[in-house]
Amino acid sequence: MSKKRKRKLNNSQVKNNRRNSNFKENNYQKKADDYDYENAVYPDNACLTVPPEKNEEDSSKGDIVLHKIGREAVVGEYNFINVAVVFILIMIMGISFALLRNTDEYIENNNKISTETVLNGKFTKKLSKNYMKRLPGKQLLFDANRVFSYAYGLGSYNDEKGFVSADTGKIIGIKTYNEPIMVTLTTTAPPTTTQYTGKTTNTTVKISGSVFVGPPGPLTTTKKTKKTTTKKTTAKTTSVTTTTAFTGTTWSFKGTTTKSGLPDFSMTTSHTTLVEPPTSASTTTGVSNEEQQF
Amino acid sequence: MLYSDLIFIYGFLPITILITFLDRSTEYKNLILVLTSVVFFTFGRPIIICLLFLTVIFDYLFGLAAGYGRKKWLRALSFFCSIVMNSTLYIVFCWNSLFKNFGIEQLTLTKKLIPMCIAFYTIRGISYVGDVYKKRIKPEKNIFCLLVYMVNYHFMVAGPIVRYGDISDKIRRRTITGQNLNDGLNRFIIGFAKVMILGISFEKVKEAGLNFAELTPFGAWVGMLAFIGNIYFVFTGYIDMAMGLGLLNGFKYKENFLPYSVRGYVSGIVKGFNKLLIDFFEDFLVVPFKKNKSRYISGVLLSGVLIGLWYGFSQNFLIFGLYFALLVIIEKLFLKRILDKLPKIIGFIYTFFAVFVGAAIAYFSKLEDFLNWFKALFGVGTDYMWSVNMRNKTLSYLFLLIIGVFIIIPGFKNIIKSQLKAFSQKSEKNYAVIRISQTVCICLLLAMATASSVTA
Repeated sequence: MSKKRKRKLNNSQVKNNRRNSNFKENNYQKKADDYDYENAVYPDNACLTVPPEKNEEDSSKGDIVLHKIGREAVVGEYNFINVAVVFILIMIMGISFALLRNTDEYIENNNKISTETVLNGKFTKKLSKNYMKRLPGKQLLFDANRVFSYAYGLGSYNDEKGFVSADTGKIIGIKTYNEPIMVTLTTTAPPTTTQYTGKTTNTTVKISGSVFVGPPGPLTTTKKTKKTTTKKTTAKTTSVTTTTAFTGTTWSFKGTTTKSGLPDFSMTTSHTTLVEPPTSASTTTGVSNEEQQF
Repeated sequence: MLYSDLIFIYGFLPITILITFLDRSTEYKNLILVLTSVVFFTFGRPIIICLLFLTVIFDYLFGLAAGYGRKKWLRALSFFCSIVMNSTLYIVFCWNSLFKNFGIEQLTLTKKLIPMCIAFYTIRGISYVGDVYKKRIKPEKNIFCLLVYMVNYHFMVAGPIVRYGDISDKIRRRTITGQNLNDGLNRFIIGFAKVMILGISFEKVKEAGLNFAELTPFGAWVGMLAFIGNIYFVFTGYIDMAMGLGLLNGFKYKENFLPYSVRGYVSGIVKGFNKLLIDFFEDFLVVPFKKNKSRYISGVLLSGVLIGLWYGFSQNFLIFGLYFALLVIIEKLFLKRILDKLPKIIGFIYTFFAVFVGAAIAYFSKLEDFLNWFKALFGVGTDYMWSVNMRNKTLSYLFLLIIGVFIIIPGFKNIIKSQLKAFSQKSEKNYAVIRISQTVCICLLLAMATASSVTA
């Protein structure tokens, strides 16, 4: 390329650059002039109105920059609030999860930190396991989840087995609750240590739970503690825990439902119980709620 | 350790953030990132698995050879060696059960010796050397920068497949702004909530619906839809968490999901779902052969097979990959032109059923199960309309299911966003209301997801 040609090109480039810069300046000025400060909104998501004292005469590039800085400051302020609140929440929960637990639990699980346990990964593995297992406030979180589930669900439903008929739209395959139901229950009594036998007592067992047709499933029973008077040398009234003695016996009984919801059985059985005599002469008056799995 | 583990969210993450902010230099941040990644990678596993990171040295050398090799065959050979090395690692670790089946006891590893998410690690090695070979990026001379890319725990759990060229400048120099922190924390928690609230809800409905002990038409339809929702929310949730972690560290990764477009059909969904993985295979197996029709078809089919096998080594994933590859080819050849002329609803119905069946192929590992499910869709072989358990599960999670469906539909999300934007633009007070509400919602989501995580 000749020198003349090169010079010509350079000159035209310089001209172009100058024209571009003039155009940019004019364009900025034009944009600033056209800017409606009274009703202006910021272009990004942070759309805040411009202070009302501004008017068209004061408008300039500097104003736009100032407004932009102001907008960024406000956005930054809310960003800071958001980050601070969320991070503090995470920190509080993190610290409480880490500290609000019994240190003995770590020793119980034999999770001691040493070079060997760290290198073979046993320490971190147990740490991870213990973290979830021994999480403090677990019940609180369970309850919270239940509350949340009521907020986003339409209610609590039990897992029942059965089908909805294509013809009638009714649930079939499980018994309706207003009919008498024959349920077979199997119970295993815990081993007893005392030999003090011979008392005949009446036990009222209240059964509640889902009813399954087919093989008997695990039903939860709640047994009310009753007071039994035992004639001992101390001759005092005590509250004792009774345990059923019919190890492995299969019981069949008939019950009727009393509610439209979960079935509620009432039955009275007569059987021999082992009564544990009081260990001391003092009077025990506590009421114990014992859950027995049938 | 997963991102959704409480020990990660309430232990590992805050400690990492606090340590990262002790110094502003990028070198320090990179060092902390590498160290924390090693802890993340070996959590609950022997530290010996860090030997795996030695492959970074080989990838580094292959990259140099692929970039600066004078002979073409040398460059090609280095790329080939990288593919062989990383694929071998993938097969040894991800398909380890195969060795037991074939009686090769020497290569059979115990579960604790198999590092998590090795698939993403190996694909990063291949993509780096491949990009250098294809001259998309220059070979990295600083091995530490490559190490930061390779062992970064942000995309270790579920991706995305970040290419070295996308973050190489950020590895050298990055700053963490307040906006980064804000967006990162929000995105991370939204991802956590997606996994732990919506993902779990869809999973419970799926389990009830696709229970073969009581398969019903309602269960077959809703169960499979719930499976799609479950996959979507778990996957996008983890990706959101990865994106959030990246932002908290000053990185901005490419988006891995494109919004669904009615005119995109199945090709649009294939390309939009796990986009970066599809891009990776497309760049190496499809784009070079785009001009020749037969080579293009074989490239797409091969990509489909490899992607399917990458998801899981089983026949259903193989068929899954082939199925979608075939649909993409058919659409490219003629179907798209035909569908474009028809009303949008026809295209939508076609896409819906194609994806529905595709998801079922991925779900059922046995052909017999697939056929039983398919029959159940039309009530064949079932006596009942729905099971009580399915009805209860659907009703229990109905509100969340509806929210999930609206989140998946891009139009609805855009409407909400534009409405909120318009509201916040009206005044400074409105803007404040929106921002404070956002903070409250994020805190609530965090609490709900944590509670759900404990219960799950």
